[in-house]
Amino acid sequence: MYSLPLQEFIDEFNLEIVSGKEFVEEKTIITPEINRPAIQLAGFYEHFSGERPQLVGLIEHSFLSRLEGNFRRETLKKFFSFKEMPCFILSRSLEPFPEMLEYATESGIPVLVSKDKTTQLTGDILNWLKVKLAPRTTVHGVLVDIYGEGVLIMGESGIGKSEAALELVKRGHRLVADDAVEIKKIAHDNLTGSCPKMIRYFIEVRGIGIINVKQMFGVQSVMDSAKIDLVIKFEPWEKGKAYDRMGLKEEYEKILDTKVVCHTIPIRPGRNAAVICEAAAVNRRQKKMGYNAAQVLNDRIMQNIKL
Amino acid sequence: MVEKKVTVGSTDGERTVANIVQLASKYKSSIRLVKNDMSANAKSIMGVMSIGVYEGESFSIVAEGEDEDMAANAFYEHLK
Repeated sequence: MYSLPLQEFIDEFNLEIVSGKEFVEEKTIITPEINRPAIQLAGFYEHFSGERPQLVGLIEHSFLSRLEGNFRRETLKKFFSFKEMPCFILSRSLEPFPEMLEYATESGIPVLVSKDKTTQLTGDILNWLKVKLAPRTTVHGVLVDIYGEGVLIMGESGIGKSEAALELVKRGHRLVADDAVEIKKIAHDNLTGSCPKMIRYFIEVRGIGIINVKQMFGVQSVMDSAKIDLVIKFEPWEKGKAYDRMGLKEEYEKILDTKVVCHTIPIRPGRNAAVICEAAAVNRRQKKMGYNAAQVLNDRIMQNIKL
Repeated sequence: MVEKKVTVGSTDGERTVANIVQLASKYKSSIRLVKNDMSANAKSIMGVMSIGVYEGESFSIVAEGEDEDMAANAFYEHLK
């Protein structure tokens, strides 16, 4: 479970802190969702998601403004008795009711105001939280953008991943991360990899040491993050092992429960790994665009047999 | 798979990144250092640098392979 400091959220959406500034530091957001509390304010608290940020728009605000004074007090008192709320947000620069501030402060909940319209703000918040709180993992590998395809090269230490990356950068492709790739699952079919800040743009090549790719090859040779489209596994060439010769059947690697197409490439001296990675990336692209070379060849042969 | 928790002792002298990587390379097992939601391959210089091994930080040492017990113990002794 990941959490996000409330302050980061406030900064991102330019929210004004109306009350409870002293509680901001200890509050965190733990779910990538928000709640519009209209029905709770109307008195229905079954299935209430109090752990989400609560967003009040024009509808809730005008509903509250029509309630008779004492009743509104009771309504808000009950609502703010849920102390786990990370924050309470009013959109459209709406004016908070005095009793809102009173009960929110009592429960230690910051009250925030946004200038944006409610629906737009909802969408922006959901998108942003989804990325920020996405499931994540770190894998040992190299991530390179080859012709716009994010290719994650994996394999044991010393097999030549970094060397292949260096060659790929020389050939005009872009390095995202060497050795440690942070992967976030942004959507069910989107794994995005980036490099830990500490080692961004650096690469380690045995025998030379550490190289700064951005300094050496320029800004055009690096990227901060890339969607992972393909996994290539390097492994030492084993005599007698059957490697994929046709490419009709696709293998998959599972990362964060998402399947990514995976090729296993046997490595031995004299085999240019970078060119093979390039070919695999282009082939992947072609397949995505609807052309499958192996399938076309297969069909052609089958047709010949029929004749 | 063996998992061992360790809090890093003083970082001057022996516990440099290069030393950690060298130690890891002596073992056949895969060795990972895990901190919160980050995990680094202990055999990779960049990996160890990315996670940051500082004094007072707590890690899990996760070793997997034929000599996992030895590797985890050696790492624990080296880092504590």
